[in-house]
Amino acid sequence: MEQSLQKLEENTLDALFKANDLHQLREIEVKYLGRKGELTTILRGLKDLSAEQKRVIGQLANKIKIELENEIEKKRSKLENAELSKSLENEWIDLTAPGAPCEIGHIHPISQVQEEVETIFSQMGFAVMDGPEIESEYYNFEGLNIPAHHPARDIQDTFFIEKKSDPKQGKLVLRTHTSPVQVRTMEKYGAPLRIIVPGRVFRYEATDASHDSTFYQVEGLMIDKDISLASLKGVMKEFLSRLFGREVSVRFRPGYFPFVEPGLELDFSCLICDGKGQIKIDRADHGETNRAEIEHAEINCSKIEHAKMNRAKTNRVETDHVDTIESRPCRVCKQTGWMEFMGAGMVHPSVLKAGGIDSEKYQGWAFGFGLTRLVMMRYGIDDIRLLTSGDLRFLHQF
Amino acid sequence: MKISRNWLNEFVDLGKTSSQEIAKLLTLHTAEVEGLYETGSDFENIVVGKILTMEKHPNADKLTICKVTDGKKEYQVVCGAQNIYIGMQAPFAKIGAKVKWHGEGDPVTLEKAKIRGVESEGMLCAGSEIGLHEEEKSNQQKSGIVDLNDMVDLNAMEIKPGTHLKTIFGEKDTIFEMDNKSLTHRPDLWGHYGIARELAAIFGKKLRPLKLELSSEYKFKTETKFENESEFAHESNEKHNFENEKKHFSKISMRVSIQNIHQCPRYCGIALTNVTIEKSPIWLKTRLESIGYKSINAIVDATNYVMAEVGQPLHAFDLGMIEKDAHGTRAIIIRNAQKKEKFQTLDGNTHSLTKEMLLISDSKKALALAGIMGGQNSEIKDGTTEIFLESANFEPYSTRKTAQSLNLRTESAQRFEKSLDPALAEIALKRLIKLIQTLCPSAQIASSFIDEGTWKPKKHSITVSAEKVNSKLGKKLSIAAMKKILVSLEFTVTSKEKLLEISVPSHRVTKDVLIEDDVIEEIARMYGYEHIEPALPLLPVKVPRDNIERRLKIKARKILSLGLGFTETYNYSFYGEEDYKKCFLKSEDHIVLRNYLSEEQKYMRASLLPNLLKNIRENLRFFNNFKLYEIGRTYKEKGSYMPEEKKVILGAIIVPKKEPGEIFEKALGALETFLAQYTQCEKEIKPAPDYAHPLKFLEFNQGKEKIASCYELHPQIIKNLDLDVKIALFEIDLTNLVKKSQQHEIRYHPLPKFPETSFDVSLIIPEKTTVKNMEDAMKKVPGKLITKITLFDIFKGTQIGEGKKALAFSITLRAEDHTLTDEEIRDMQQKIFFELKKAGAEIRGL
Repeated sequence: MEQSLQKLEENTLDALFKANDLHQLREIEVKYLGRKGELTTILRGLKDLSAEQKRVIGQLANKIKIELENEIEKKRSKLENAELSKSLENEWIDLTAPGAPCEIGHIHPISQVQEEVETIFSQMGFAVMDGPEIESEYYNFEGLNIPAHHPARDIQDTFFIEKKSDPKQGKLVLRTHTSPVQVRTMEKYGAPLRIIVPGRVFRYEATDASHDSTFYQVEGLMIDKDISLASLKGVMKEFLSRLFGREVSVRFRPGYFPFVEPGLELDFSCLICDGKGQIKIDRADHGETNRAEIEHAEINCSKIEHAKMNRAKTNRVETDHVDTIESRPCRVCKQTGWMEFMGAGMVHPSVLKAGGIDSEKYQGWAFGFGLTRLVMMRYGIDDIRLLTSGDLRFLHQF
Repeated sequence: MKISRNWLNEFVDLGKTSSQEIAKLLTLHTAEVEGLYETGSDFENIVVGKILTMEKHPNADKLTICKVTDGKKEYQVVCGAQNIYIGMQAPFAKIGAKVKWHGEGDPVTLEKAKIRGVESEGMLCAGSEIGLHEEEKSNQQKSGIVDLNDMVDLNAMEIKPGTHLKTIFGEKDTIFEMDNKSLTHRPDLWGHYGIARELAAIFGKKLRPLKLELSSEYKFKTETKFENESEFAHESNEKHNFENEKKHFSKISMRVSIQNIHQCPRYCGIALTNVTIEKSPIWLKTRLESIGYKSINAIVDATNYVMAEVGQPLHAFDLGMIEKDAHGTRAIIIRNAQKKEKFQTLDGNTHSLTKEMLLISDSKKALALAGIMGGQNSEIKDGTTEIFLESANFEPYSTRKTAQSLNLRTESAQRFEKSLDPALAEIALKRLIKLIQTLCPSAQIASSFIDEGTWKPKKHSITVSAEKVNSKLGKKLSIAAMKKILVSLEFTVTSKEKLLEISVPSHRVTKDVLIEDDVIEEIARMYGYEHIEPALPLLPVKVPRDNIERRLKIKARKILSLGLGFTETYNYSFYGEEDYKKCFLKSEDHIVLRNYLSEEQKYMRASLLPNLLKNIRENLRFFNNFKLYEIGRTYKEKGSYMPEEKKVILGAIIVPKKEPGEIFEKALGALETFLAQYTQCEKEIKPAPDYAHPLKFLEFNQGKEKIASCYELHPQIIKNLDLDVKIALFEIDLTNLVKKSQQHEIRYHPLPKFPETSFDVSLIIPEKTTVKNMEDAMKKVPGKLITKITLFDIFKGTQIGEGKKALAFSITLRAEDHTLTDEEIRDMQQKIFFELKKAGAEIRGL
């Protein structure tokens, strides 16, 4: 009996070894260990044995049974794994095929950049303000130290509303800049102030690829006790560096705007040539690709293109020798190394006065930049009219 | 405005500083230089050569051997051009000259050479070979040698063998192009002298005075009027009560009377006789041409030259055309024009004038439009021998207005509108007399030096606090440093502790430097903005004032675009009459522009609809199934001075005509989903506005506030615009939504402790019975067991029967405190069926 048990064990292990699939395994299990299996058959003989033999053989049979069960389990998981792998192979799909379409809309690029600008300034403690688009001459001009005969008030530049004028406020105009909100906010909240005013402005001007009668500006105003040109430089440097995602430097030039004194133009370092005015190009092997990429970036002047170009530059530095590098003038900044960005300056005392703020106690700066132009620069948009075209082929790109 | 470097060099020594550097420093300290370019050339070793003899080259058909003289020596030159002839004078490049072969590539130095065996000692040149610019080249036959004999407009006297080419074509110069806009506030910068003054201050160099003293024959009796440190002022700001000692100067009697002293604060003039009108010498011609002026004749050119030099416009009249009175006195009257007075300017155009316009006239007729342009009647002609020179100051605003309304934005008008310094009138006139004396030595001063007007030199002082300067700059400058800067700009400065007492020079006092802040700008720009380091302000941390509307708008875009699949568009704030009429909008709602770019942009939009429909129409060329929205303002007259500006969202869903189903439902679904993010509204069926389908219009209100509406576009509008699609829209009043969403609070409801159960009911009702009727009926069942009623199907069709529709609801029941028993559920079902039947429904499957 002992021998037949051992024989059973051997046979089972042998069969297990040969088994190829789960079905065979199941058969083996039934044949040897099942209720009507061989082990059961052998153990039926136990009743004819002595008590001592019963004990010994019983223990042996139990041991063999447990051992075989373990072996079957092992084999089972092995076969299951193999089976799973095999079935996965049958589930091949074409990964190059596109996904099932999902519907998503698009936010207008001006809205997107405007939100970005608002976020950066909000983080620096600026409130976002708003004002009417149909504005009085007073707020659009006089309040900003632009008297009646100033060139900026020429009918060529300003849209007027057909309506009787008010003795104090003058005619109604479509605001030519976001600056009227300066005086409006001063009147409402007084000093100190930290605000930006993004908004739609209008110029009576024929439309072409780079001029439109309607565009967006962002006005900024900071008034407190010790606000200086140094802090204007500081805040704008922070803002532009954050907006472009890299260190940007700014410079001032004298400029003239009636509502600031000193009046400034603010430029930032050209993003294409890093403020150098020259672009280095690789003449060796990858040169052509590099050049094409740089030129493309110059044209587009966009963030993404710029990143690409940076990569192109890095690659070159690693692999090149000096004699294969040539430089050529940067077209984007016309070799000056600087991009014109905005007008700014210290708020003119007359403007503070119009806003009811004591210019002996408070001082500050104001700036205004073209949001539309920034959007065009960011995405490399070459025709301003696309922004008001409503063309989905354009809008779907953002 | 164009500025010549050579000209500047007459007043300030620019040394070897590169022109790029000068442009950069001017841009950083004074005003923007938009660009610069080089003109002329050194023409080293290139002179006028005259062809004495010509013979054929023995070895080449197309070559000629010439003998050329430079006035001193003869040279043998081989030439390949066909346009040469004996006696021709042409640019002759000697050995050592730099020429461009065939006008291309870099210049090469000419060497002695044998050409086909014949020695050539130089070269006769074509324009392109010696870098003459396009204008000169175009006068010549292509590829031919420059024929200097042909240049009839040049002073022939100066063209002879040996004349250096530089004296004909001008020496090398750099022209700076100033951005006129950045000079708007600087009346002192509209001439070379003003720019030179800035450069002298920038470089710390001396500014040379203008040469004004007249030759000894003409003595002015003078008295000093200014106490100004400036050299310019020293030299020039003297009051000349012109009283000539020699009698014959007084042979012309002149009288000037100013009738409008406000528009003409100062008028200087002088008469000259014995004048001959000739061409300008080449140096004058080239200099004027280099800055873009056309040469006319020496007298007119001289007035332009002085204008370009000191910035003061001048005018020369033909004296003979000024009317004499019985005593032989000629009167110049500065008066306003009569209404509709006609005047012909020297450009030949006749203008109809208004009473505000100022004229220079004699006793009978107008002679010039003051400060803008002379008249044709008194213009300098070839035979003119007696002239009257005018140097006056005209009021900026009226000059500007006149120039604009007559469309005559002349160099003169452009300068007067900047508020010129009246002191300049006198300086310029003296400079002009001096120049005319050089150009036309026979000219004689024939009248007293007229100086009329009420203008008096203005002394203007400003007190500046050094602390204020530093506080505004964010920098610590010493008082000495501030003083040095101001003195370099010709300010007079005395200091007392921390206060600077500043006296403003005459040329800055008319407009530009009036208050402390103006002085701060002078210090800042000369000190150099580049020396101001960026620094973040030390301000207390403060949470900015919240702008709920902005936040809500950003959220709205995210829901509409990123959630509901709409694409945002931007449109103009205006449209045309046709646009709003096609949309059945009322004309009385519209605000009209007084000046508009086109008929299509004449009205301020009272609705976002017309422009959005335009977007839709345009996009139909490429798409037929899309969703658009715009967030923008509408403008409406409301009786008060300021019109009403409303912020509105307009969304549109566009599907092809053949697509099954109600498009209204799609817009409704989008709107309901959107609004649920902000607030809860009541839906109300109201009469539809004209632009909406009369039966497919629904309003969303909260109390009395209108929040939104949803509608299908009126079929007639679809037809009007020829749109072959179905369009449904929703309009949201953003301003009201902001108000209401602030009251909208989200409250958490505990999750149910006991299970819910649901069953479906399908019913048939007459077509025009509403879903709401059925919902209301079900809600009549007492108790709170119904937690949700959801409509999941509406069906119409022949199986249901004519004029009927089938609705399918899913009804959810739950009790707060126990699990519902089968009995309770059955009971509820019966009650619901009962109410539905009572409301006229036929329950299907019962």
